[in-house]
Amino acid sequence: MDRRDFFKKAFSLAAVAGISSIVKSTPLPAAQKDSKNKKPPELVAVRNGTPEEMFDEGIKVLGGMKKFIRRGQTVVVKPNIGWTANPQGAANTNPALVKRIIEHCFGAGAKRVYVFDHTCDNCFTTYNVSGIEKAAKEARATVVQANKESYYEEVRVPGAHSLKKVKVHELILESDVFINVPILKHHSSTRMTCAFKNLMGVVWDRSFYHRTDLDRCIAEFPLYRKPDLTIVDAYNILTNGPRARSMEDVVNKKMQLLSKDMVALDVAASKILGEEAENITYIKIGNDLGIGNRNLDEVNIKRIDL
Amino acid sequence: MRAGKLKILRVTLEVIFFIFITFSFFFFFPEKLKSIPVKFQIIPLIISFLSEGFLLSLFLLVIFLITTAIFGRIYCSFFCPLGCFQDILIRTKKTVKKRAKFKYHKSFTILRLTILTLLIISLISGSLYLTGYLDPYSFFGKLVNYIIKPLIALINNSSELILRKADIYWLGIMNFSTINILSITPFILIFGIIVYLSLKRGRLYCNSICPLGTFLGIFSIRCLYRIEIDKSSCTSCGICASVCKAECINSKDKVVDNSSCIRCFNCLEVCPEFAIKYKLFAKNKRIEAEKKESFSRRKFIYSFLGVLTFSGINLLLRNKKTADKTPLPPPTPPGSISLDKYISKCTACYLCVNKCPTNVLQPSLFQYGLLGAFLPHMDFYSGYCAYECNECLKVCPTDAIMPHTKEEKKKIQIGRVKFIKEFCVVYKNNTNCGACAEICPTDAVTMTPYKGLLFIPTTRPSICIGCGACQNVCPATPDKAIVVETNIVHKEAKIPQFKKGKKDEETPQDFPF
Repeated sequence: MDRRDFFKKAFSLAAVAGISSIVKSTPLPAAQKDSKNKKPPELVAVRNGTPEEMFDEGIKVLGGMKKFIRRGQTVVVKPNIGWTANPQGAANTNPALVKRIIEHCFGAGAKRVYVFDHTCDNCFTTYNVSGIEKAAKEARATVVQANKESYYEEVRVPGAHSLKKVKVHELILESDVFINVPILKHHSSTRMTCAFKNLMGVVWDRSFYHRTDLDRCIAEFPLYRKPDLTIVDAYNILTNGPRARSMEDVVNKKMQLLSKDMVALDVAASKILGEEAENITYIKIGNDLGIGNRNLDEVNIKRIDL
Repeated sequence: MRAGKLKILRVTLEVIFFIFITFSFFFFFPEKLKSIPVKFQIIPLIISFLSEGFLLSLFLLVIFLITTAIFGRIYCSFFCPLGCFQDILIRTKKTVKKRAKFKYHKSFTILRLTILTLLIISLISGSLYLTGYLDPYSFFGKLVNYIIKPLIALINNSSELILRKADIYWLGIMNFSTINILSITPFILIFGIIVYLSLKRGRLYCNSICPLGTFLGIFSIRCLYRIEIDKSSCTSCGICASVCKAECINSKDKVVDNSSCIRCFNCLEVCPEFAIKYKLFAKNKRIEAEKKESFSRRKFIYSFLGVLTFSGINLLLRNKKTADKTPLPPPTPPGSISLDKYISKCTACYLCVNKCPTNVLQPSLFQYGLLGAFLPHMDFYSGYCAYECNECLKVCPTDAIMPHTKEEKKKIQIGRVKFIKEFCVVYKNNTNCGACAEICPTDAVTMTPYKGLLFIPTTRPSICIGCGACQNVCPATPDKAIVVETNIVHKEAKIPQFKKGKKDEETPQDFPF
């Protein structure tokens, strides 16, 4: 390094430090809202980083992946891989985020990590084009197909009104830990697809949902099994979904939400999307069924700006 | 030329081509290689040239005919997949039953010529129904579809199940097309004949029924290189005739029927006297040999009479088709341009059916009429046409499905969406559904506000491409609330103008909660 280089670097460092100190010094409303609460957070909201950075930070606040996975356990990571669309199209979960989550799972001692989705488009193309198969395999996860009925087993859903029985992917039945990784999107009939709606990808007969009562079936599925952790990918969101038709519909929000409470997550997500949570029927039903809390004022939220 | 080398060359090429052509029916075969072997099939080349005037097809065709005129029917033992299939059967029988031997038989010339002429007439009259069963390649395609693929799928799927129990997820589940008793009957019939004949009499099918064998046989009557018996050294021991799968060596009279010879070169290496040879035919011997030819003028005339009766039946069938007014048939695959063109070019080799990753292409029954029986059709109950896929548009050996790029295919309208509100779940049950709109790739079906918080489908048929996704996923029972109405002649879909989203929004500076 010569002197000129040194000066260049020194100045740029100083500039960065200066700017960041200014940014830090302005009182952030987010930080203020959180300060009154000392309990462990129930919902972590992170913004302004890459999906991986936001996840690293978010999971740290939740106590690390070790809080959710014990050594030797098997894990299902269930992203949205529904559509033949590349990662920029924001129709499927961000592959880099999926990869980082899997790495954390193995870091926490997971024995095996499975990744699958019952896709809407042909699974050979969606797994490939979404980049998720490649990313998951790079992180040593087992990518599993979900396009045949023989993978599914019928279970009873206790307390359900419409979805009394449902055929669920065998890995959901067998695995110790279930991590739900939806991407936040507008949906043409349910208004939003996020934590709740993403779980339609672990059942065989989606047609039954549509035929019977879509909103109620979506809301009732977690009565069978709630994900142990849900990570909402709101880095790029789709405002005219759920299928990626045009790049015009993709908005860069740079956010991520982590929680066990799917109802609170979907309420928070609906605000990011700009939909009224009141209008999203399955959130209301999910709240009434006791799956989570839709009153965000009662949820301890930790907001993080990167 | 040394005899042994020729046979080794033949067996090697035959096996390579057979493997290639079989694997070209499977989805996972390398992209670059898979469509090559099917382009070397003569009858598809003829159809492709006659209907579309493709010069490449003509070029390949001429090369094939010239080679036949020089070397004889090498197609039959080198490139014909059905021939190789029979050779495998013959070989198996020989391994099991060591003493299996062939005997010389006279050629069935009248039958052969009748079938060939029949085929030509049906080709001209616009029905490929016969061709689909008589063209060895198209028949082999059916063999893959009905027998080989289900077998492989069965093995694959059962090993997948075992591996999955051991927590290994290497294999995926394989699909194969639905098999209908009605559509499989004519196939089973001919398949039975082929198996029986090949086990009993070698390649007799190729020298009695196969019209391509007859066609190439005519071309090879005066071929330059012939199998010949050296009369001075031949002892008429009959060893060569006993290995001749085509049963064309008359060892008693010491002559070979070169128009029936399929060029397997088995005879060359067995002669103890080295009397049988494959060599350039000497000019002065020609006149004498031609007297013994199996194709004579009288036989041509007899077969012509046979043809007249059959073509009459064919015409009757054709008139029947125009008379009936059945409901709209299912759409034909994108790239087939129109139903009439499709029927006049498709030989139902089911290559596209086997290629189709979503299983929307299925063998039909009589949805396309009697002449279009069993052609592949778009079956929106078993799948839908994937927007980003043009697999079937890349492979068709007869160009019944014309080649198109993905972008071109996205504009082909094979049918138009039709919404029947009375059957819709939203209308009937007052619950949300929207399965059709979320799957629609072009925005031809969108959800618009309805009662309360509900949305109901709205259609824009002008931008619909008729992919059938909406019809496939529509959960309404017993009748679908959204269906595709066939375009008998395909149209061009208008390009969808996508609703502008909220792109202007900037990355927010804070959480909205």
